[in-house]
Amino acid sequence: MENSYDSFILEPLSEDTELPTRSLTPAFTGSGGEYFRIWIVNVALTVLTLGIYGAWAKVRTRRYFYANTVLDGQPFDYLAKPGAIFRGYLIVGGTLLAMKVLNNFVPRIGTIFSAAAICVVPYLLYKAHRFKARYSAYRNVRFRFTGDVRGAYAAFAVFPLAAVASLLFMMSSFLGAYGAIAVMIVMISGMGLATAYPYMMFLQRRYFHGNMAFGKTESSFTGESGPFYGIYLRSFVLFIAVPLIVGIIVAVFAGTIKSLSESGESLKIAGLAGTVLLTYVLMAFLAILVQQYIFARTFNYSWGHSRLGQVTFIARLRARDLAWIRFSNLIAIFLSLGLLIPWAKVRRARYILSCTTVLLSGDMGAFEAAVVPEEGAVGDTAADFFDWDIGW
Amino acid sequence: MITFTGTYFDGKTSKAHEVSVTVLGEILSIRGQEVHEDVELRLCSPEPALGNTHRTLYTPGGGRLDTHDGQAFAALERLRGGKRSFRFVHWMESHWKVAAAAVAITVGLVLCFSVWGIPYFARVAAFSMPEKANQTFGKGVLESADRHFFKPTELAGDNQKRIRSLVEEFVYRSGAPEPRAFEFRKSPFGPNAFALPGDTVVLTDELVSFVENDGELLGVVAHELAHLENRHALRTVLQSAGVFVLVSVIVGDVVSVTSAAGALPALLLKSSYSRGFEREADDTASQWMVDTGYGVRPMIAFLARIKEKEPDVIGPEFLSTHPAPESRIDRLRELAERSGAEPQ
Repeated sequence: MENSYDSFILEPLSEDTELPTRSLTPAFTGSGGEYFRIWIVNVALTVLTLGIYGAWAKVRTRRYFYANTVLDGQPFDYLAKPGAIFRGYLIVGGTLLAMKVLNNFVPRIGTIFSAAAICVVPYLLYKAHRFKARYSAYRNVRFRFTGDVRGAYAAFAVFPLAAVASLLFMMSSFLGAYGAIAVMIVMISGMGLATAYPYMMFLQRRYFHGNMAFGKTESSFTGESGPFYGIYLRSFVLFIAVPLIVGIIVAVFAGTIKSLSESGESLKIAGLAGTVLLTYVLMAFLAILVQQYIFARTFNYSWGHSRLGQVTFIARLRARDLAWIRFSNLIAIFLSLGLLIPWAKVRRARYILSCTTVLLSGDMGAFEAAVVPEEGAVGDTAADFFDWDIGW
Repeated sequence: MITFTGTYFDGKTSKAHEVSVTVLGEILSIRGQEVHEDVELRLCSPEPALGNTHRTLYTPGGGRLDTHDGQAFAALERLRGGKRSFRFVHWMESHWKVAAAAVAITVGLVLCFSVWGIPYFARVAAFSMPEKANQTFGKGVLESADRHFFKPTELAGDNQKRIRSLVEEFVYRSGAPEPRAFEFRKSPFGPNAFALPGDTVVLTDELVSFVENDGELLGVVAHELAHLENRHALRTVLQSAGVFVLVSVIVGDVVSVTSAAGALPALLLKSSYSRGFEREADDTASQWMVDTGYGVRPMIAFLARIKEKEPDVIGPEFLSTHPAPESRIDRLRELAERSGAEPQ
């Protein structure tokens, strides 16, 4: 493990640095084998009970990951009650199923649903943040989420609404009628959207990192939007470079095969199949690389600029490590017909934790608890269902 | 008496207290440098055991006691009594043999649901829906198809009229359901016919010119009418809702349903259902064809020529919504032989 950060200079991060700053790395103490047994029993019981056990399974899974995340000798805790999650399941699952079926009976209801979704999603995300914080604890002190609904709409609704509006405009008849001017407006709005996107991601990160609280201690986020532009600009360059690189590799490969296959028909077919497979694999890997690059850089920057009282963070995720983990996980899961899902999940969690350092200039025992009201699980369930990344 | 050591958090601050714990009779005593608590054991809530992680107990006052002494904690749980269900779950989760059994049970159940469960429930639901609901279903599909890819037909009015009356007579003689609308369209898909939800049958101009005789045409129409008879469109929707539920139950706590891990098996299952419906439609249609005296031969001839015309577009069968033409032809031959209607 790379736990010695001697080269790292620990700057004085707050005024009252009486205690020496301690650098702590969270450890993941679970194992793939152990989690496999928990996972498969969860899956079997869930299928056996026609899905009802799913809520209990989810709580057990999250508890397993929290309890095995150990910081400064103490584990984290997940405290949500399965009953609440079950109610969330019923509401979210019922709504989705009804939408799916109704979509076929009532024409154009899909459009109404999508419009409603843009309006509802920020609220659900707000609820999801509150739920996850409320039921996460460390040293018997609960976390809290202090963000408000308005912040959620600013971070999650403004951009999608603008995007939909310009899309509708593009499809409208206005475009045909005014030709050149309309094309210019479309181009300007497209560029505007592209410029606004990193800012939206910044707002979303700030909404999470600036609104967390551990007991009575509230977090602060000192990040700015500039670096987000840097991240997306570089990922855009990667995105352009990717097809070029893939094209060159595939062309070389295909050329070699062609010169070899003059002799036989079967080799030609194998070569063709090989070229297609190579293209797919390379494209998949490089797409994952871009995706993980954005994730890693955003993660590192956001945690690096967050503070929780006397606690600050350093995150050193590397895009190529993450991309390799994701890519090899996918292959392992595919080849094992899903049986290696638990192993893959543990592997990724372990890597992410190993790249995180918590800097503490004070006493870990000095945080005061706060009273937090109970929270419904609908937002959490929805976030989980659609795989919305809410930053945990 | 049970004794063990652990860490206590009072729930007011994050300070960790090293404590020693004694359980004597009904009373749990927690002692540490700054901790002196005696609580009734039955009011404490132990968290269920999970993997190899520490054991935790909450006191009625909101304090939290952690210990790594699993044995002592288990003794405490036995003494306290209460729910045993999660002790059983934990036992299951701790044994590789149970895990292996769980794999078998999961695979078996998923297969049962996919092969019998979902199709059965979809069929029952589709046929218990009132006729009216079946007709409103898919309203607007033809309009949207018209907007997106169909073009108005270029068939002569006489020809249309002739085909309509041919179909009418076929419906009358075979007992097949009468479509609510019977339409002609020019289409970019080549020779094809569609049974749209809402009991509409669409023939493409290309199909009408592709068939060599009325028998072939009626074979195709009969196949589409069989889709209507069996409410296949509605059942497809209901089955895909079932697949959605099944996949989300299985992968729900691991990856989201919307990801590739869930989408691929769902796609395979749905196309397998679709192939089942095609076979069912062939069966029903061939029966009508035999009953009306046209026999199965025109259907076979048609499929054979389709296969010749488009040998390349047909991918591997497990990915396709239709069975391979060869297997459809073989099946029809078999049906013809079994009914003894005609030697082939």
